Amino acid sequence: MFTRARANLRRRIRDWAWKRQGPDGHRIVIVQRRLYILPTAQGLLFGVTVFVMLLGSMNYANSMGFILTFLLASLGVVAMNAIHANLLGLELTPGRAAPVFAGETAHFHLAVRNPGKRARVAVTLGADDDDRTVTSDVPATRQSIAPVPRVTTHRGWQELGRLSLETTYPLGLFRAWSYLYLDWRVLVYPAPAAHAPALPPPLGGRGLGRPNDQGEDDFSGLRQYQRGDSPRRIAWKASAREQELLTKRFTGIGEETRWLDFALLPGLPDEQRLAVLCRWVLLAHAAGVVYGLRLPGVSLAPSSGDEHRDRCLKALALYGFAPQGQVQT
Amino acid sequence: MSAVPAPLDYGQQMERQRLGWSLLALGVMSAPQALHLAPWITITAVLLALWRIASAWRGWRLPGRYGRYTLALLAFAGVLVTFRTLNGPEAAGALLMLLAMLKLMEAKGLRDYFLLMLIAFFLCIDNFLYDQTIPLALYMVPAVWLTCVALLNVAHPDPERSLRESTRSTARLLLPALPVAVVLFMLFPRISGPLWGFASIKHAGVTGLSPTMSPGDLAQLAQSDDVAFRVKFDGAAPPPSQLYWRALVLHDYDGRTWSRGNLPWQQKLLTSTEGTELHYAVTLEPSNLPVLYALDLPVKIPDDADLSASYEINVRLPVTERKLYQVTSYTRYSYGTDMPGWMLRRDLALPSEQNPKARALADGWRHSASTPIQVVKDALDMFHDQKFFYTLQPGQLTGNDRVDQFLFDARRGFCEHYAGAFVFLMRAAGIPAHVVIGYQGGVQNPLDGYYVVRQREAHAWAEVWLTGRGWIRMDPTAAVDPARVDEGVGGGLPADEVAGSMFDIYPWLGDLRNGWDALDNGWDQWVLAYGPELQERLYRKVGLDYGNWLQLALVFVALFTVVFGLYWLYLLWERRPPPLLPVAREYTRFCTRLARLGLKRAQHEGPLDYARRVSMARPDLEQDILAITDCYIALRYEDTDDVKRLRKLVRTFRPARKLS
Repeated sequence: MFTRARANLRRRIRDWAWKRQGPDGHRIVIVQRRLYILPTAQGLLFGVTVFVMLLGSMNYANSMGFILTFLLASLGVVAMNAIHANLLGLELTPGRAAPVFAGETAHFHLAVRNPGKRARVAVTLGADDDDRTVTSDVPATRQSIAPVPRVTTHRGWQELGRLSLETTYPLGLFRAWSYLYLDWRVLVYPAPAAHAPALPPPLGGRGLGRPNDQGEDDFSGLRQYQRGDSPRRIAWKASAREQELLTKRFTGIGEETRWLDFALLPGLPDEQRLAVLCRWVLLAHAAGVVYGLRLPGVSLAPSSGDEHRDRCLKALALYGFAPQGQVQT
Repeated sequence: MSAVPAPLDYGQQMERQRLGWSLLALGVMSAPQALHLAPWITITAVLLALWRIASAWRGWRLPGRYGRYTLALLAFAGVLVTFRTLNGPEAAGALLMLLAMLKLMEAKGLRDYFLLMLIAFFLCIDNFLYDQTIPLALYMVPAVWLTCVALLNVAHPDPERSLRESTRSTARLLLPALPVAVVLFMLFPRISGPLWGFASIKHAGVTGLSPTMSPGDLAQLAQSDDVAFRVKFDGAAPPPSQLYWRALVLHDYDGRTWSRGNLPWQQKLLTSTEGTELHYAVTLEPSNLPVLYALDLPVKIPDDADLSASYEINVRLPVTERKLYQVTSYTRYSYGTDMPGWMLRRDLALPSEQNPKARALADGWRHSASTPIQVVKDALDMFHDQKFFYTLQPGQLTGNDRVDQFLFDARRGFCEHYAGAFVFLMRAAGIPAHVVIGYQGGVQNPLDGYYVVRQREAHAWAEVWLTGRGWIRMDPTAAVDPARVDEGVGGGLPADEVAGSMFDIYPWLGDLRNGWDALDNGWDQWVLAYGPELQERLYRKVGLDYGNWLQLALVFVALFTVVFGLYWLYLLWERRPPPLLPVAREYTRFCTRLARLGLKRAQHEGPLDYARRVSMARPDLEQDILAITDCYIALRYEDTDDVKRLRKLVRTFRPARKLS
């Protein structure tokens, strides 16, 4: 009953805060307006203790007792100020949020900058829907990066949702907190299927599939290295000559070119097909083969490398969610 | 596998840190109390603490749940047997200490350790019920600090935080709290009297007067340098020969011991006074007697006390705490002229058939003298003229006829011998008389002007009743040795009996004692005795009405707003962003001017990109923009320091609103 009342109160505070704050921009400065503070359970217990001490001191007319009581009472008030000030003025800027596979934990890297002259201690960040938090100290005039964990359940864009920034330092008698409504999301790939059929065989013959200009059969020249190119295809000798990294280009129908096609997996539900395709992409990438991806309405030309893999995974993640034009970018 | 212990994980390290700090806090706070407690309690607490330490660092097994319950029950039983109660500061302190240690056995996580820290603060306050002296206060300053450090580390354990860091962080919290606490101490409305039962602490070994007098009692006190009470006179003090501090009047004699007898009557006697009023404040040390001491003769006493027919000031409970009170006295007075005969009979009673020689002597005086006053004179003359000695080592008196033994054989005695023998003689001669015990004398401390009366100044004298004149003080000791009254207790004693006092041998030691005494007294007067009376005076001094609660509340709110407002401003100031370098300031000004034209610099835009974009939008400004940007970049990233040029460029940069 008590916990339900507490949860209820929390929800009401949450709604109230959203109403008065609204969404946040790119960079957030923790100003007084958005900083809340309430006593913790320990703080309430501390208050009761100080009150009992006050009664005891009155009963015994004990001067030293009075001094200790008043010292603890004002220590509590000072701590309240210090706890509030521990968050005040912090600047938060969203950083990187690397894509993950569904079911994994995504980390939203938030830069917490302390412009002030005092270190901020034990500053905790956590997403609303995740019990896990990250706690860090921010030295004076420095910045630290807090990876806020967020559990993911299904593929697609996952919104971070509301973030809580909070602290009970020092003494833990009060909790000061602030809500951050960042427009920030992370890409969640489908979880790769645990048991996937073997990769589809490479397609022989020119007639099948699209003509391929990046097979691995016949050397046709050099081009500038691009991120994601396999190290095996770097022309080391030429690179040394030209003082820049060059990648060998091949033409011809790839002996190794494979099409990972949605249509190859009939009879499975869509999500499972995507899971198998995801596994295939990973297998193909690991094997270093050239592969293309075909989904209904989406076709990614055969290629290889990290970038290609990421493109494929993104297409899988967003299949059916976003307009096609956006997926292909 | 080798026996290398697994490295502790972070959580274990945090728990250890919590354990260590709370043990330290509990130890520091119960150490002064451990001296007062029964040895088994202290030993048990220490053993339990050691057990807990061994379990955390050596992996010993801790008692299970039933083990802990058993131990808790044993602790309750032990305390109950030792103190016969669970109430009162001693039993509560002992119980708190034991239960804290038992709680420590199962403590885990923030909640448990936080509770232990609160117990540490309770133990701290429990100490003050025993002892509020300066040494304990000095001990408690670092002790409270340490406990607050422990609280910080319990609430936020961090194995990487250094001791230095946590002590400094705590000091930063305590320093602003201290002045607020002092203000609260002075202004927070006090009430007088206990809220609930007052379980007082028995002060074992309090030296002081006892409610009865037998030969030898006061001579024992004469060895004690303890302070009995301190007095601050509002005006001039009376001469030393009039400093008779009345405590108790002893009416009954059983042949050996003088005692107060039945409860004194509340009869109001006729009293007349002359001369000037003496106003003074007395700070009485715990005496365990239900009376207050005052100069002969008190006329105005505290509201919570009653004056008996013999002018003793009775209070309801024995004085077990230091007590501050105001009295008004007259040194020239007469009282009791209307004393009824049935009351006088009590002061004439003597045990029958004892001391025949003394009775015969008194009878002789009565028959030869014409008036009672002549009898009194005869007795004093005897003490003065014959060979009587004033000494601390009178030797033992035995048997039934002790007064005879003293008057005719021993003739050596301290004040109680003379006062007792004198009153015996008076009663035997038919003159009402009784013994008064109290103190005579007092030494002024030159540092703070207080008169300090020590236990060694305990004294006994007599009062006799004469028709038409009432009760008159007679001091037979003064007749034997006038120096006792004029020069203090040391003055009258033989040289070999006072030479032992080291304060007479080393005068600087006396100065040192005066200094300490003044300090101790100031502590008493301004800190320990601070209560409703002093507070009311303070309120009146600053123009506040003590009884007006609304006004008080407003003053408090205002005070808090000001104090914490100031502290808040300080925190804001401390957390302000660091000032911009002059170079950055000028460049920011330049950007602001461009922003006014609608060309705001984006967060991500570097100075060069920004200059390029702005120049494209406003080709007319290109020259200035490039000059300023180049200058800025040179100042920021190259080794130049010509800020003046940048400043001049920025100051003269006044772009027109519209493209010309």
